[in-house]
Amino acid sequence: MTLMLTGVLRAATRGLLAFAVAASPSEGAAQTAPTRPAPTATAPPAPVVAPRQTQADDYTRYELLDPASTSFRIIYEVTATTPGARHFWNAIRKGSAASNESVTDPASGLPLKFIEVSGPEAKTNGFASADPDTRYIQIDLPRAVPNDGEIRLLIDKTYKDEKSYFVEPDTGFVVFARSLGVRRNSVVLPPGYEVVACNYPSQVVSETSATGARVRLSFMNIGADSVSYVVKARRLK
Amino acid sequence: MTRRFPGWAGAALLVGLGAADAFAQTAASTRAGTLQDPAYAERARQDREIVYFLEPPETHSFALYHDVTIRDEGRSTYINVVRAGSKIKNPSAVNLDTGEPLKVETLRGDEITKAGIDLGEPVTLVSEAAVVRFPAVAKGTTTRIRIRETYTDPARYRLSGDLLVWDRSFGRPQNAVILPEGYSLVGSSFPVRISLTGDHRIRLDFVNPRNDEVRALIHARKR
Repeated sequence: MTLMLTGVLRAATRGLLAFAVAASPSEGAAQTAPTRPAPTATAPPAPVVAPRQTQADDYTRYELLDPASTSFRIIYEVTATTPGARHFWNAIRKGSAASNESVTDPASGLPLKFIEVSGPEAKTNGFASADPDTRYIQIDLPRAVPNDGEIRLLIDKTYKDEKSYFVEPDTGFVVFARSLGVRRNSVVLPPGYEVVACNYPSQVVSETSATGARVRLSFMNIGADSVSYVVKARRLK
Repeated sequence: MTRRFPGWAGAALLVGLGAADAFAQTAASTRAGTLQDPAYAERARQDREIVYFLEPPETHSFALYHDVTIRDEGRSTYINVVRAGSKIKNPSAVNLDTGEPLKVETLRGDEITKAGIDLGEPVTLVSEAAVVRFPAVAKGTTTRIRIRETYTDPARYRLSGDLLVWDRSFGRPQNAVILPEGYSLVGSSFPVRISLTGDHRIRLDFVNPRNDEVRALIHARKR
């Protein structure tokens, strides 16, 4: 803990921009952490506060699976930036059932160990701002986050969530509707589907896959709030 | 007539469909780095809008309408300079405040010079401009007009193999492109909102909040 606190203070002294993870139910919503003033020789000792988990460079790719499954794959790139941290916690959004989880260290290409924990367990294990009603993937980082460095992570998981991914009864359109807190995102339609609606300005890109051509919508959220993203698609005849 | 006015109102007035970049031109006539620079023009206050209705790509043609508010007291014409490489046909205009049709002339080459119209660029034999005439804007009022035209632009709207290609730049803050019937969207370089029109065509809405032009590269494929 002392090491971690020292690292945080050093980071603040360097003026590093940090993003702190709220106990958010999103896939990785982030919020700006308050900056901490640099200690001085004459300042009274600061109270010991557990460091907040910080992260950066979030990018999420949602691959929509067979609409009948109401499931989508999430490939989430995120970087752990809390100096000294040995774990990283990634929230499992309420209402979503997670499966097929894996975590990779992009620097080595090696898989990383993780376990699923409850909010109270995450808090006990060091995630001070864990939401008691949220479950988390607790990842063992391959090394402590360096004071002048970071640890990149690639989290792969599948969510089943019929409230976020469903078929609209009156039109037959496939709908992906989800509040997205991460700043950079893409949504990939199932093979054989065309986009017919998208409510947030997005690039449209075609990509090929083993299962056929797919349309990808990609956007950057330049605002402060989450985007209530809605994409509708229909099967090409 | 001059094409150069200080401030956003003048710039908005001057930007015709084919104007290369009236903001850049106007910027060149002012001192850069000052608050008079059109780069500081309040983009959100600009109300120039355009909607393109693409015809089958093998025709290289698209209909469009664009709206603009004329704010300069005494002004009685709006000049739409046709972009080099494009041709227009069937221009028409209406005063949106009254619903009355307005007179539109298409001038080419020497006709432009004889009419005393300054395009802001050298007039050549292939220069083309649509001139919309309306009652002079009275003091304390503005006039909102809509211009409808059909363009043909073989270089920037075409079929490449089985792929519809639209590759044009937009200078307005708000632009929309409606694909031809039967086409699905497979690519847009610029972030767009997407919706279906009442006749089941794909509509792309572009919003550019900056005072510059954006390249709108669109790919679509027949279903």
